[in-house]
Amino acid sequence: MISDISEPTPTLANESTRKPGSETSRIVRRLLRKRSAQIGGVIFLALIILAVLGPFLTPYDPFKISIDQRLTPPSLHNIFGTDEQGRDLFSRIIYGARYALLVMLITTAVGAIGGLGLGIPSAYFGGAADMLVMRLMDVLLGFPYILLILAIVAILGPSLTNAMLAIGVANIPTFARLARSAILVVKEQEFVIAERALGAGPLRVMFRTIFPNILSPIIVYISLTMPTAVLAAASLSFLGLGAQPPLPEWGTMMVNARDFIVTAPWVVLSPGLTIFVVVLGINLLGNAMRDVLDPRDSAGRMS
Amino acid sequence: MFSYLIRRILYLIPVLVGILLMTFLIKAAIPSDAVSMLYAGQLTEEESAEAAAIIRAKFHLDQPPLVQFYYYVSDILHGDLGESVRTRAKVLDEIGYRYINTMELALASLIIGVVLGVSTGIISAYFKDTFFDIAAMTISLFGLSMPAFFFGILLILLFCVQLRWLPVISEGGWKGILLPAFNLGLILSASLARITRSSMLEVLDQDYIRTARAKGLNEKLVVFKHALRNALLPVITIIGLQIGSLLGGAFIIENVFGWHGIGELGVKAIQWRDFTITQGIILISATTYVVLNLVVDILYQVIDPRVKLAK
Repeated sequence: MISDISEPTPTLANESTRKPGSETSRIVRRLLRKRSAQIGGVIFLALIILAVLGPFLTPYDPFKISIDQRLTPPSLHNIFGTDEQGRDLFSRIIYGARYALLVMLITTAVGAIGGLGLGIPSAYFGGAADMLVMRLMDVLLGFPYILLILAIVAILGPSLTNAMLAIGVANIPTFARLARSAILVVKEQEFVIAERALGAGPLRVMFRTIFPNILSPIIVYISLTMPTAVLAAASLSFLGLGAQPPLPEWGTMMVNARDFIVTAPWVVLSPGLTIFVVVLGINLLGNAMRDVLDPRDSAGRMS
Repeated sequence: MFSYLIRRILYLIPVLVGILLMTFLIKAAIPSDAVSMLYAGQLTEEESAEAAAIIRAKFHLDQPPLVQFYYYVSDILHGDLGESVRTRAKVLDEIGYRYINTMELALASLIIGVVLGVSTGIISAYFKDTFFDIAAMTISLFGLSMPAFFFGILLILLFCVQLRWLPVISEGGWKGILLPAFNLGLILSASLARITRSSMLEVLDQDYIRTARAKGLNEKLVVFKHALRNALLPVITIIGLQIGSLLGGAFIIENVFGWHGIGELGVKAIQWRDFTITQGIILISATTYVVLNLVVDILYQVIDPRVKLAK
């Protein structure tokens, strides 16, 4: 009898701590059943492995110039061939994985931290500050995406770091709006009011109580920004406004593309196809995640 | 309608001020030694210091930021975008014909993108889950994953190098615009096809479509008159927003094909730190985008009688 009475308390505690875990694993299981998630996941995993283990996998030093080896077509020695300075393209592409991963991490971090940092408090407190923040976001959204990035790069100067910062900043307004609209829905709900009534401070309510409940649209949006960020960073580098030579960044490797397109197309094809495959992988993974996390909006909204 | 117009135009003001501030920052962020570097090596140290002082005074670089901003805005309102730091030519003259070239390219791409994207989207939605739909959606996902500049390079490789139909270096004229316009247009059509498809699917699922079919209406009439009209409304808004990605894309694609538009010059100007040209180009492209979006918004009001302008 006594054990009967004492039992509910631990199970209750267990229920509340276990539930989010089982929810996550349920989502992951549903995700893994999708073909597009499987393909995308493998590509994404390969990218991470290449980025982490790069130095152990590269057959040659990606920076080593050997003039007598320049522009050799793909062969058993250099499976992707060599570039105009005789550097092994395969090694350079493997090293490039690090920059792609870095771009995704930094741009997402800047965009999400900046956007959520502005959007969550402004939606929570409302008032004049909210007005001001949102008008500021409107102004940033008044620029076309690439143009905003170019303007920021023009201010900061061309480099990989500045390109990543610029892309991240260009993502801030959408993150802020997204967080804001999600918060406005959640903040009047009973569990939030209860938490406040219990005496929780605004920081705790915003980030411990509300934040976990707006996570899924944010994760979906992150999966949408990542491919765009990789494409934007590669484009900037291709234009000479991002990573600078001799960095083995995939866009930078194509800077002189036009000069070699006739004589040595492999110099251009290997980094270009690599970007394409990686972005395709993230897109596939992102689409699958959106289907699982946000079933209402499963059709293509990719702009 | 009229009061909506006024409000919508008033709404432009903060955005335009933001654009002015943003472009102004391009100048303010120029490191002070950039001016000294301009003549490094060409003149003696004294002469270059003197020249630098003249330039600083000329661009009001020796004034406090607020005063500089005042001069900046007042010059622009007088139609003066200054002169290139590098070539001394008037910014407006440098940009003028290039602006027209870019608009030509954007318009051509827009037509290709809309025709191809919207029609693919409609067919895909109507024949949902058939081979055509799956193929079209797969190809459009490829299009969304393709770096625009790499796609351009592939086009050059195919049409100029392999097939030799077109010259590798654009010579202007209709032959020159063909590849860049297809490049931008095809990429635009990838996202438009997906949006049109999902919008069309949503509409085809509505009760009034079922009613129309139940009435025994001609299927063509149902699809083209009842469904399409409603499905295209959200697509129009997206097209307006996509004008931005066309203008942005022009910066990349013009450099791939050597198309002499503002994008080609803009990228060079950022590299050269020619801030007056950079300012002018970003100012003009952003303003163009904002104004075109206004036009699209108004168009939207005209087309869709359900939208209450008072909102």
